[in-house]
Amino acid sequence: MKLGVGMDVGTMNLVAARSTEVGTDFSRIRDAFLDVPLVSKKLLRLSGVDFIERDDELLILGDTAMETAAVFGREARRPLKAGLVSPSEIDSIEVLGFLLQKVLGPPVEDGEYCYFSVPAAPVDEPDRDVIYHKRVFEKIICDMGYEAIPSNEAMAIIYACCAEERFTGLSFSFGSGMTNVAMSLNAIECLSFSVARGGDWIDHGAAKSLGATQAKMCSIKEKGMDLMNPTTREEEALSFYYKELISYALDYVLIEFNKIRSQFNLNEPLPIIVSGGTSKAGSFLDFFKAVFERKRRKFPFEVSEIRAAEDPLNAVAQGLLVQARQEYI
Amino acid sequence: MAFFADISRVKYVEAVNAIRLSLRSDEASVEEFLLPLADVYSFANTNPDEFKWVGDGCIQGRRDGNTGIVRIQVDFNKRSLFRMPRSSFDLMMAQARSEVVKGDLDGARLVFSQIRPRLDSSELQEKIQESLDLSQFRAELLHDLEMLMKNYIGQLQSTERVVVQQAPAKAVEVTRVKIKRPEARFIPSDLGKKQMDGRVKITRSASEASMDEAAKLLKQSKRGKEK
Repeated sequence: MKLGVGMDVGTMNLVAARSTEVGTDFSRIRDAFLDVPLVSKKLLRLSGVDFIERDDELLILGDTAMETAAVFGREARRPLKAGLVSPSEIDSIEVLGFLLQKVLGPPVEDGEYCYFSVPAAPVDEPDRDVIYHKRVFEKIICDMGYEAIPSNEAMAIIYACCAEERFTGLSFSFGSGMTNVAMSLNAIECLSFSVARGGDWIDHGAAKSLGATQAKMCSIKEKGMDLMNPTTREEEALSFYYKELISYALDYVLIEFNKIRSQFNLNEPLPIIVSGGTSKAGSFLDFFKAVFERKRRKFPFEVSEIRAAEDPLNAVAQGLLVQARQEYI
Repeated sequence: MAFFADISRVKYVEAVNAIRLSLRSDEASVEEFLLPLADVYSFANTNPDEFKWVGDGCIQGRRDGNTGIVRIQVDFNKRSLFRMPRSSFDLMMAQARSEVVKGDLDGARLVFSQIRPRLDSSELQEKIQESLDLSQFRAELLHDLEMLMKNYIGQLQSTERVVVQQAPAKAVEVTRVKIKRPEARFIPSDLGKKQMDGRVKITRSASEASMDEAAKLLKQSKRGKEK
């Protein structure tokens, strides 16, 4: 195992990436938990569900929590809301810390570099506290013996996917809680922001418009659907909100870029890279391209190509690992 | 004490194919106008009378037995009038006639200082709207203001300052600058240290792609910038 680790702290998943002699290893855990009363202990043991005991309750963590919640008709609790931890959910942060320890493991040596992801401040909800989020994770990871370094989530995608372009490009990380955007020129971050809309917003909007539950919409989405050819009313609703989300993010690129356009001279066309769990929906790339084409005329710079990250769920962790590894090269 | 002896002076300016008319407004000052050749031609080759203004363009005149008046349009809604003795007025007309023939009347063009009265205002407004992207201007202005405010707030946050201004008299004015800091938020020291134990399902996967090449490039890129 080589030194350096990349840690993607997402609303839906926690992903750790480490370099090995033959490639890269990823560890992933669902960022969710379910609290059940102590009396259920026997039942859980019988059904072979892993759990942990805390004070007067039992906690089912990760993927199992999502599965169990679906069985009991409950919603699993999510420590992160719209991409950030909240001080009012300090109980959840304890669980999140535990999950982080499990997925990250102990450092190979004391003070090993761990780059962890932080979202950019949301432009559409400026009151959200990104600093608190960053400090909480910095503390938890430092306490584990790592040298914790926060790094922008969307920039990590540039580091993972744009080495051939000398780390130049525009990246979109369509996450569950929010959508992060970054623009980089030769590894220099020129623009980064986030919008407080992501996969959860799509589920919520589609569920509300059809009188269904958010969990149902999420499961339809995760089972696999073709955004370009929705076949049911639910898929049509999801497709509608996907289009709204992409359009919303692209509009903000125009707004935010206009604020800084005088500072840059973009001579060469930029590639656009789309990534994140929400971008795993079928035909997402074609769908994104179709929405982008309608706005291409308004775009203040040339776009050379639009492509998807090879591994959308792990791209952020990969980019963070690139940053961690360069500390040892 | 030096003063301007002549009331008027007319000269053809070849560079712009126009007529420069200098008119003495008082003993110590002269006003100069650059006039389109065609306007001066129209003015100089008409016989003025005392009842109506002669001339088609931005310069017009009239005279009676004793005095002559020159009227020059200097702006959209502004004209200047110069009154002078009849003899001086006739002399100016004669000078104008002799200077006008030096120019090329066909190649005469509008002189910028005299353009505005001749333009239709709606046409002008259209041109302004075409060339001025107000939304872009607004975005740039907002960005500049934001940067200025960030710099200013950054300076204020670094230290609390007391600005003392010494007035010429004994009074001392003290201005206290209040600092707005980001809201402090307590993070418990034992956060994430609560003893919890149990098994959790972790999904593991592996990829053959190595991140080391990208890391090397990133390192090189950073070194390049440091140089």
